[in-house]
Amino acid sequence: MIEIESINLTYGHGKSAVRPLNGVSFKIEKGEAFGIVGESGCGKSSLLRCIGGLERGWEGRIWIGGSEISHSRKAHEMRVVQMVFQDPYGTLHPRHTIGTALFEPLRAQGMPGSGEIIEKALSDVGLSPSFRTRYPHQLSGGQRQRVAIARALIIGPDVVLLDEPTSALDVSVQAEILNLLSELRKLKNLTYILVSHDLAVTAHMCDRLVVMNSGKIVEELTGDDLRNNNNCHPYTRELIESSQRYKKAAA
Amino acid sequence: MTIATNAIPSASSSRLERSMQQLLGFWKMFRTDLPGVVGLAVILFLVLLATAAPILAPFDPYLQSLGSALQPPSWKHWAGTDELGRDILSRLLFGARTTLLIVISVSLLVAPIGLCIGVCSGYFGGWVDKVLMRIVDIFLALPSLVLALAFVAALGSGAENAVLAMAFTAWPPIARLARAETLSIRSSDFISAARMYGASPLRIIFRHIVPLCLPSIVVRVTLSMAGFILTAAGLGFLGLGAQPPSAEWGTMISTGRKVMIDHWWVAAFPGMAILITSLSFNMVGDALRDAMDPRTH
Amino acid sequence: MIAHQKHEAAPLLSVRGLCVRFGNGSEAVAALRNLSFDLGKEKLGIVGESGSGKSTLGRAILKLLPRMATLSADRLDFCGSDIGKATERQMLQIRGRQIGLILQDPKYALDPTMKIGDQIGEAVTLHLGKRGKDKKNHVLEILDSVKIRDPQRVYKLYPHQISGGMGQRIMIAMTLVAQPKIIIADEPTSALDVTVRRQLLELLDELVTARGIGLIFITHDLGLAEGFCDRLLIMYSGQILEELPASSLSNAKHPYTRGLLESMPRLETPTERLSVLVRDPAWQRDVSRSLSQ
Repeated sequence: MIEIESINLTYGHGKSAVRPLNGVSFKIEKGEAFGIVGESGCGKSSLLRCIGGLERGWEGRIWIGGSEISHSRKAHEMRVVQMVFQDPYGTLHPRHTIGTALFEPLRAQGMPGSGEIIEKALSDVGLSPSFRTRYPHQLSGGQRQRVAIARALIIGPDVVLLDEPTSALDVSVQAEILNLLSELRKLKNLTYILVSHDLAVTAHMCDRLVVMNSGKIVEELTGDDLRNNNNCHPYTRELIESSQRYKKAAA
Repeated sequence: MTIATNAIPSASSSRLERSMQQLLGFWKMFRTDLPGVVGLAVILFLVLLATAAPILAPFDPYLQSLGSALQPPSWKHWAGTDELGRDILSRLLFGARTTLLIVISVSLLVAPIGLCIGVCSGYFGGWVDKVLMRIVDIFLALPSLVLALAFVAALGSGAENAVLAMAFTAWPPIARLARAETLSIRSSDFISAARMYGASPLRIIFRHIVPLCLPSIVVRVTLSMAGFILTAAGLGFLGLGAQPPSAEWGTMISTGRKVMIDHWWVAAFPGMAILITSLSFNMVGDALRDAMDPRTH
Repeated sequence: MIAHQKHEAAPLLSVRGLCVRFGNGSEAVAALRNLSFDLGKEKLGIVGESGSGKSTLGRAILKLLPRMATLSADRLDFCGSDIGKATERQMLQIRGRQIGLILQDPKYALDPTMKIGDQIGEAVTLHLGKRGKDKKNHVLEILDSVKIRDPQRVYKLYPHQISGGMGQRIMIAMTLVAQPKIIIADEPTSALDVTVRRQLLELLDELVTARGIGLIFITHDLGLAEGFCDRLLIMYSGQILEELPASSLSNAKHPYTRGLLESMPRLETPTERLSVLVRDPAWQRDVSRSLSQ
């Protein structure tokens, strides 16, 4: 479904050049949930932005659904890949109602947009039709993320990029959103790329994942590999240990 | 927009309802700011006076009566008379018309131009930004009075050319403000989302970015109105704006300057009028700033 | 009650019936309702989700609430003296000196225009009265005690040149200069990467235990609090729903705590679907006053 080969991203020139991405390659099958784990600055969000078309200065090759993607995309090419962002408080336009927020993508893609379509999109993410006329500041963080998910799905993409979708949410709300995402993936046969710094969340959601550090892929493994600590790369092991409960020094 | 007609009949009326509710919420916020309310009342009063000037003015503003020149304020002439015996109060009332017209014309020219240039500059970046900002720099370097002189030399003096001259030099700060706002909005996730679902740059600019810039632009323009009044008065003072015998406040101060020492009322009353009007616009601008953000509700 | 048995000496902080309201009249919001707890020379974790009031509690103890907030308490004792009725002047002596505060993001807590060495130096002069060479040596010692590898180099750096983890260590260092009896840490590790977090917690643990400081550790991360703290207070909607030793967290009794525990994804135990917490409106009702006598 998705294949990326030797992606490089560089900002600036010469000595002061910054390379968020340094030769990243992997393949993802259709319907898979693929995780990218790493600490801040490892390049995982930059990679997502390259795949999503928000970043244009990358080198390398990207294939989505069998066809190669160019640096600038036409509107109908963009329909295939959509993204859910991290911060629920910045993901919706503060002056647009929820209904408008959901109508705009349909309009941009030239797809029909009726009250019914919007209400179906809302109910798919567990929100009642009454949310159509509300403004973002009247919604909680979890509700806003649901709207963000509805907005990403309303134009019917095949791939959804998830950039730390629950890291700004409370644990109890996170559980609801993660469950919602899992259900939607099965229902609509979506392919996910989930970026997170949280190993537990990634292992829960994803079948396969890669660990990134300093713009490179350190290791590719499955959820089971993580749990059983199968011969992991030292960096991966460090991540696993740090994620576990802090154990106090002997009292 | 044929979508919502049959499907959900209440959709259109609820949109109007929503707008009304928004306006009401905005008003509630605005009215908590006392200076703003006072300022607004003063401006509305002024508009009323200006509109009703022909009815309210006790005398013809252009009627000269050399015999009763330079009379101090009395029951007959509430604000006294000027050096040509014209009733100052009547001239103030008619002058309000000129002043308000100038201010509104300049604002209506300046706001859209500044907004468009600033937002495009901020959104597109690159060479578009560089070119537009250099143009802004050039215009900022021109002092409005010098430019007004140039216009006068080219086109002749008068209120219309004063308006053009002021608009020419007043749009750059608006453009800079719009650009600054756009730069900070541009990196928001909802703009990234819009780019990702294929919205055209024009759509993003006008539907997403401009509505968020509007509050600060409106506030800036309202605050600038106070400055326009002063600039118009200044131009009038130099004899470049509204020409005598036109009853423009600045022109009145200019002509009253000569007799100011012994006959204070000739320059003082127009001066007070300018002060009060300018101050009111300032106070309204401040109150608007707080009231325009829906998140403070 | 368990709480009292742990303290042989009098508690450092004793709170009874603490209430904080924002605003006036009918529109007032109760941010904290009838909170009661003690703090000894231990690490007390205050765990809650957003809106639970945990940060408000931290600020209430230091009386750093905004003007529109009203605070009332039956008892708010710090080392035996009543700070509930303390004036602002008296609080100035306590804040930063006897009760320290560590915040989430060192970027905002450190002055961006001053070098690190100068900032810590300022605290040293203020609290310990040292100056000149004496002061500089003390600052270098402090940097060393928070395990900063090259103190001489870091002394000359500006806050924007150091990493988040290092910034937090410096915050801890600055807080410790005044030799406080209590430290309130409000989400000190939330902005840090996982690997850095661990090191910072180890450091904090060591320093606090060695000096016998009472630590109030405010966090939303239940797992973190369980591992790090001695005792936990679970907050919801401005109240303490449960108080228990961190080691007994898996035996928590209150349905909210259990719900939180069960909704967390765990690396060790894979599940198909995460258990979702169903909020019982009964949890918002006023808990009885005698939670901890």
